[in-house]
Amino acid sequence: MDTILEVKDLNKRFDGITAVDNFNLQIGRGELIGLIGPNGAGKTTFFNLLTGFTKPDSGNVFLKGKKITKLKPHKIANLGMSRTFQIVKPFKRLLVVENVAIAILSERGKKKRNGASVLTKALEYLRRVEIIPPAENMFKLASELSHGYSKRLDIARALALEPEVLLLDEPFGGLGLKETPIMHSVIKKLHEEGLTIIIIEHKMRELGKLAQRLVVMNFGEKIAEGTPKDIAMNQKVCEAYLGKEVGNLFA
Amino acid sequence: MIEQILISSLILAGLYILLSVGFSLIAGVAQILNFAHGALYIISAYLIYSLLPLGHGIAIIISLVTTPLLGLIIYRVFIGPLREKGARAALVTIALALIIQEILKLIFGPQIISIPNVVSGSTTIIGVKVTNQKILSFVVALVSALVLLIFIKRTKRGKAIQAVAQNMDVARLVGINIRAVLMTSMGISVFLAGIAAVLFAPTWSVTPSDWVILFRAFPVIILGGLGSLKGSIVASFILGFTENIVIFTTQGGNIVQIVSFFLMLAVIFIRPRGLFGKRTGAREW
Amino acid sequence: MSQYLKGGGSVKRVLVFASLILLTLFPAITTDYYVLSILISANIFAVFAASWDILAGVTGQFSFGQALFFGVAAYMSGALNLYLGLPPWLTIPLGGAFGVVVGFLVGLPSLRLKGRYFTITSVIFPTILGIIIVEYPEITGGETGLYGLSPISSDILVTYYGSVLLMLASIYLLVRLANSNLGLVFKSIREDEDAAEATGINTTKYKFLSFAISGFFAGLAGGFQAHLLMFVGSYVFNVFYSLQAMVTAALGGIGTIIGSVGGSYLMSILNEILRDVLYFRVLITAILMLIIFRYFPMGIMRKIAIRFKISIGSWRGLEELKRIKDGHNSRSQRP
Repeated sequence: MDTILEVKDLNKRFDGITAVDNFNLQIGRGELIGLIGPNGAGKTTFFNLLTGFTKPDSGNVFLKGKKITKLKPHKIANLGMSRTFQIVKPFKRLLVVENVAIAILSERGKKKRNGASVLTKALEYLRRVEIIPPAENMFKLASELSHGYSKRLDIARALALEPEVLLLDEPFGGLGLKETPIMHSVIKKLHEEGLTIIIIEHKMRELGKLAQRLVVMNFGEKIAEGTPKDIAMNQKVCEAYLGKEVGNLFA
Repeated sequence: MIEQILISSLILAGLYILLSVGFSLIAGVAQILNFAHGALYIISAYLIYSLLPLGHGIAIIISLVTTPLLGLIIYRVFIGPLREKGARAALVTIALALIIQEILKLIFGPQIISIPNVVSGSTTIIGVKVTNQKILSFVVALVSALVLLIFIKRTKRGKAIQAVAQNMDVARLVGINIRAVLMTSMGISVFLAGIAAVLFAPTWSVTPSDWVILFRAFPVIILGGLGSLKGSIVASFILGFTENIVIFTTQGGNIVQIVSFFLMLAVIFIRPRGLFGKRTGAREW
Repeated sequence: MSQYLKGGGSVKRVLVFASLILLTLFPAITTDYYVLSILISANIFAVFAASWDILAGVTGQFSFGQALFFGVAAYMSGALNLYLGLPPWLTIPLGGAFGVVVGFLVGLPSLRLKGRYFTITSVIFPTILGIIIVEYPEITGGETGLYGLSPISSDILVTYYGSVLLMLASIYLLVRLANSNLGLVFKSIREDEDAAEATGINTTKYKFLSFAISGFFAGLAGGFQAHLLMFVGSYVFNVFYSLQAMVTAALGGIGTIIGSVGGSYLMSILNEILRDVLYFRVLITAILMLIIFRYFPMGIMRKIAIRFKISIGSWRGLEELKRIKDGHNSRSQRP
């Protein structure tokens, strides 16, 4: 396995609560990993630790072999790992295209532009996440987008950094019947294009279809790891998700 | 000399406590920087001054009742609706402070006014002669702050205030009456300013432009941590002492503000959230 | 706001052109010393307000210490002129340079503190400097200030055109900046600093840059003012002075840059109307400020712009979209 992301003995406490507890993880290039666990298990904190938004108490994170543990978020983004947020954080008063353009104006974005205009590239990413067509979405303020588009805008922005590792925090959160398959196909396409993706999600069904491997977190610890099938059968995991019988996790 | 420094420090700490706790309270609960807090202190003093003909005691009572009311009205109309819009709210409060300053200037003129002491005479403590007013000021300030602290930590209403300060949305979901909490906090905040006027204005006379006295409390607020009542109290003592030491060992009175300013800067760079402030004051990365 | 593509370009061009003509040819209407000095002050203040606008309106750094940049530059220009005999055309740019330095210094706390907390500290900056000025009167002139500075020119017309030049150049540069790629990055920091970081933007670097730019233009304004009045005093470090810049920018529309020009001229007119009731000036300005910030944060210029569907402050990268759109339209019109 060509390890692209490695987490070693990561620890983080907040005022007496252990958010991430001795976490170890290895992710291979091109994998699509699902990170699941009950609410408060530490999943988003884990993402924050990976991307530099929170500093760990101990432990290290390696991206493509390089230690990125205490680096600032923008440095990590420019090194090839980008993320979305659980609650979308668009640049509200900027246009949809402008939102994506910011990523293209970053250090990494500049490098990957190859002479194309910022706008052309921005439109490209908006197409890839299926925000356009319809063309009128281009001219909308980010705050004017409906939730489904909003979620994909977050992804477009992270995508515009041309990352090698993409962290998606609850991409299916709040999506309805119509929007869910669109998100599914967008993520699937990105994976097929070779992107390494880690997804935090609660919608097990979607994750079950997409993920090759699942990592289960509870109280900051990794309590299980394996294919969706294995995890569905895992006693500990089912206990963590109260009330689920073995085998029914993905029902 | 040391005794003098000690006594002066305590008195100054008392003033800082009343100003900073009031400011910090509303800042923590409503996420608003109320620059008009100092102006309400001034109004209270001027109210007492103008009502003196009715008798000192009556003037105090009316002032202590009216000023919070005024504060609440101001809050309701101008500040409250801007609750989550930090910069705008702050600008509005500064505008209010200036309006109050100018109106008072027009009515009373720019000169210093003085209001009488609540208690007269002086006592000698540890060899230092202190006016009874100053002793009363310190005691009342400290007691008020401690009472407030107990109220916040132990009573149901107080815990509701804590909840709103921590996370307004969740507090709302849990069924807490946000409006009531905000009003209560604002009322307490302004009431503290009112008490400060009753106690300290006689000692340190007052002009309409003196609402900027609030600025002197900023180093205290930063050191203690914005939104932390405990922090404000502790920091008030620390800065009260530090400033008095500086005053007594140098010749000028203004140098002290410069020193406090640099102290504040030091806090910002070493530990931005102050002694007891929540982590969200400083950048986490 | 998203109607920007609908046009208004020609209206904008007419307005800009008309204003330029008016500014340049105004002395043909009158060369009255008093009237011209009002305009000169308005021009300087427009630059001062715009310098705050690029910092707060575009980059979202609501510093209350704008007067600090202005004041330090004014004092330094004055000192260089008084003690070293440097002429205004040197001291004013140097004032701008000092503004940059002060910009960096004021920007430092913003690296450690978030929004509200930074605002508190920025309020005290000018106050402290005001105290320092008074405490060390030997160099700073203390309460009386520095007197006897060289004027910009003995001819009021030259001074007038100098101020017009300063204003036009500064506003032009700032508007170009706000609409540039750099300006867009600034705006992203204003909208959501964390998201900007996550998007690969070194927010620290860009925040510093915005402070430096803001300080530079405020410094230019300060230096010019010092030589206009031939005097610098501690008035520059008053909180109220910072506030005036903010009201001016807000009057025009925060974030528009060009609004500062309109705001400044409006404020000048207002000040003139209130000249006889000097007593009420601060009060009325404060009331104005209260009303604007409480009820009309968008500002007047922006309201006008929306009414006439003119776009102010749009990213120049969007111009390509227009071309694409026009290309589409013309194509769809072919049989």
